[in-house]
Amino acid sequence: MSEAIVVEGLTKRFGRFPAIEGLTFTCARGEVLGLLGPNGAGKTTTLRVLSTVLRPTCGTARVLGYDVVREAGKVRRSIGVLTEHSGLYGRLTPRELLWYFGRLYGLPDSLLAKRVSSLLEALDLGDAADRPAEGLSRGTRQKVALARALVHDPPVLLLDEPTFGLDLFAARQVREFIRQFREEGRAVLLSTHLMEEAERLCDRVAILNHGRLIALGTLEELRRSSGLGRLEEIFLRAVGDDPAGQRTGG
Amino acid sequence: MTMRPFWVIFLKEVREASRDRRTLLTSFLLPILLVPLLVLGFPALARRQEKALWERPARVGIVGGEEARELIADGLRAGLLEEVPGRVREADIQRGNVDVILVVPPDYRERLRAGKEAVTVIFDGLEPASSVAKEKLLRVLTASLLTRAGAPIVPPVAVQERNLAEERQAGSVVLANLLPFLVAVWAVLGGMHSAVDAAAGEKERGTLESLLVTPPSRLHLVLGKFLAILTTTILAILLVLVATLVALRWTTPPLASSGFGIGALGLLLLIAIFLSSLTSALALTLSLLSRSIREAQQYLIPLYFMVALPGMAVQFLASWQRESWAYLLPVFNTLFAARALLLQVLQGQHLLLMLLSSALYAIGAFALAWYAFSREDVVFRA
Repeated sequence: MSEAIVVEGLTKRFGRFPAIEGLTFTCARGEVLGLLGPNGAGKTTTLRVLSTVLRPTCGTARVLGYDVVREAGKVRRSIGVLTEHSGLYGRLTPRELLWYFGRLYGLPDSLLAKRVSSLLEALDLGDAADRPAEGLSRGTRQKVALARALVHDPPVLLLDEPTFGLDLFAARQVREFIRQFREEGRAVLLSTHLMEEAERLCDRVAILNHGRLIALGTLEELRRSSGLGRLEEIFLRAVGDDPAGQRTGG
Repeated sequence: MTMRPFWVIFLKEVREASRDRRTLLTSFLLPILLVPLLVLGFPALARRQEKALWERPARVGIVGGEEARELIADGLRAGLLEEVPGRVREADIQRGNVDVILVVPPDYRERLRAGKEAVTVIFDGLEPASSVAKEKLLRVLTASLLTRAGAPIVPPVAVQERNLAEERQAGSVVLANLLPFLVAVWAVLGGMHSAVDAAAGEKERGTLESLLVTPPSRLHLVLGKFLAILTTTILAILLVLVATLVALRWTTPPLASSGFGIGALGLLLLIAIFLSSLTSALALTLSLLSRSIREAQQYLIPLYFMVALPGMAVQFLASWQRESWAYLLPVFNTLFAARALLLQVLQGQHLLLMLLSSALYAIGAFALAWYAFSREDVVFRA
């Protein structure tokens, strides 16, 4: 497996407050790596540094070999990002939204036309494609947001809480898509606070607390080293009685 | 073929704005409804009121008995004046019991012969009825003092008033007083909702981050959004100008024939573009600094006043209008130029100073917006 994301000693401080501190991990093509942690552990900050919208204080992060600071443009072309509170433009239809983002990624119209229709079909958005986004259900909106992240066919996906707020069926469908991304050979970095989701989806799990990486490995490895069976137990022991839960800033 | 990123962003922003009811209302419907009312409605009402006042007899209170009554006898007979019987006081004018008071002292003939003020007319200049009544009374008095009292001045000739300003310049003055204000108002109002949506709206809906992770540089982002706000603003101002011109054609007599043609309209639009570039860039910056749509709207209110108040003030700062430095002041420079243009007294060097300084202010404000978009703490301020 070739490494798609390589993070070394990554630190981001806001003023004196360290949001993440010395993170080191990798994520390969065809791998789903789960970022686990209580609220404020640094999951969102990690994803934002990788998506080039936050500059790291120190350490390095590379996506497909491109440095997130020096080669930010190339990194942005390689990644598809689903942000935590990923919204849509209420007065645009999903089809218009996909055209907008496709053009921002510089896709030629001929290619984009094919890409948009295949995405709308693949994500089962045919009925909603030409209705203003403000009238769509939450699940449909999340699928549209996923389609937006995929419009330029990125080899690397950064997904922040992709099933947050979705009902059972919609969440199931989104997880199914994520498995599909792995099969297509994409590298998926997924932040979640749902243990069950991590157990089902992730090839490896990285547990963050107070901005530090406190455990990293396959589920099997984590079970062996902790002597515990379920991820939730492993997580609670790792985070201990001192979760970062009360802090803000993710 | 692929489009330049700023153009992609511009088209999307304009498409969104064209579907936004608030933008359609404040930027497009309001000028069409409100401007004719301001241009046409208020002056017409004022004229109607004045006409009615001239047609009815003025109610005169008299202090001085028979002497006074004799002086205005012709006016009473002709139905120009009407005597209010009984004792009158000044307060009666404000109460509306009388329109005007005539005071005639017993020795008025001697005073008249000595060339002193003989009689006194008391009126309230703020009250249209009282002002019109004063005019009528003065006309009657002038004639009567000369014939009856034998005043030592040249006998009156038939005097006809002809106010040239009314015919030639009234149109330009209405335009010069009103248009800079209207332009200033819509320089902020016109693009307000677009500006709020373009940054604070993106934050509130959670779309900004998705936009920031796409390849276009922040310069393209700011440029696309800025141009969209500017376009909405300019369209609104164009509507204001057209609505004004159309409304002026409906006035009687038509006021539009005051040298305000297509050329002047074009120049006025150019001036408006320079002002709107500054306001659009500032509105975008303020919107980005806000955490929510609501907060952005609150930040835009001071900006609105900072532009609309100069728009109202320029007509009272006529002496500044002749000074070169006035064409260097932000906001004021464009409004003075617009006013001078409408009065047909705009000087080439003033226009040049205005264009240069406005361009600098707009570039500065645009740079500020660009800088704000590149700040992590601004973009992720939540």
